[in-house]
Amino acid sequence: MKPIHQFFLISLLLFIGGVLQQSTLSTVSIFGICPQFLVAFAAAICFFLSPTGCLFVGFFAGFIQGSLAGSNLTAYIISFIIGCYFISFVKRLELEMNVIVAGFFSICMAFLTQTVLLFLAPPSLILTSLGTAAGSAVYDGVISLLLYSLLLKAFMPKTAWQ
Amino acid sequence: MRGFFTQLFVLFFLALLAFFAGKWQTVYRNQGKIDPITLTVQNIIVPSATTIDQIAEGVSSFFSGIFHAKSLTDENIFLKNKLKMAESQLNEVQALEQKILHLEKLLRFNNSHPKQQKIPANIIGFFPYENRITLSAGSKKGVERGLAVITPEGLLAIIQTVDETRSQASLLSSPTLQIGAMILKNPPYVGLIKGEGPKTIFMELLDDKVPVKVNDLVLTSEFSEKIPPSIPIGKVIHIEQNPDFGIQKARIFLNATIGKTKEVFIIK
Repeated sequence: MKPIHQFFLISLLLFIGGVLQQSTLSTVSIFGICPQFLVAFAAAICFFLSPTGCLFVGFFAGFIQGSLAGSNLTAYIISFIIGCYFISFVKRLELEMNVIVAGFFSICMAFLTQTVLLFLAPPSLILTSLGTAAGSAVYDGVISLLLYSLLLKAFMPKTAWQ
Repeated sequence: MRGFFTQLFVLFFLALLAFFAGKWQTVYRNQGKIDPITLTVQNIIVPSATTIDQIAEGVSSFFSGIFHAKSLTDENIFLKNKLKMAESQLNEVQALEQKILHLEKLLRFNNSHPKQQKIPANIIGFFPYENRITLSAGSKKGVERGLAVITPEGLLAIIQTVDETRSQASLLSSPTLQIGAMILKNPPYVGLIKGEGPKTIFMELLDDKVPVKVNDLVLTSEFSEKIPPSIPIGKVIHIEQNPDFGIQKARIFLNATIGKTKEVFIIK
């Protein structure tokens, strides 16, 4: 895939992630846990990008999330950047990447992102929030896993991480 | 190693950008405003999200309709029945309200004619083809032949036959009945009225120069022994000129009709 096509595809995915996050679909809860679409989308995208690309995706995903939430942009952007950079770090481990492994690391990334966000914008009940973040991370991991499977076809074989 | 430093630089740069973006946002928030970049992002995303919501709601309603069709149909039937019952009760309430209004008018009429003795009665039978009604008061209560049966709207009938406990009266619309009446003019014009149909009667005016007009009021005349004067009968709705015979015929719409009332007074 050409870089310009990649750019438009990633922009479109982040836009879709933002739209889903803003829509009532993001309030569809399972066992009281709601998904964070932008986290899930960013995680799936980052598996196919360079570390610098991951940083930019994290920045823009955090920016969109923060803008939609109307709260502290800095906290959102930094937490997303860290989460996305975590994916690029995982890629360096040279694991045999498949859907299950990608899903597992997406869960870890989502949990990390949410946790960093909680510490940057501390809520009153940190333990409860951590529990919620963990649940939400699993949710995001599953979404990310599905998206990863789809993106695998779009990005392979040129830019996918081998 | 060089790549790592590049990444570190980008990371630092983006973190710095995030810091300033947050500060900028805070400055605007402290002024009670939304910063332009946030606003732009929201303006781009929120309309699409609203569309997604509408689509999701539509799909949800569609499947909900399919999966709950039976219960929705049952509920619909139940609610329709409820609505019918409510409408029926509403009609009943309206009928009762009309009855209350009618009784209030009757009471007011009773108070406004204190000199005349009034025998209250109910209409207990109606024979439309004969233009007759049966009343629940008879000779025991002092009812006599020729007395006027009135409602708050005006003269309704004239007593024809009297039993001990019941009496029968001819409606003004009866073609067999003729009574004296006057058209309220200055001076009033007096004549005989005769029944013509369920709601109309007519008055033959033997002078075609009488200036009768549509909407002129028609009252009972002063020349009857048993029917009190000035009881409203109706109003003129049509005038037929007959210059060949030098007469004119005024068609009158009756004030009191049988459908409006059940309670009446017999005036003695």
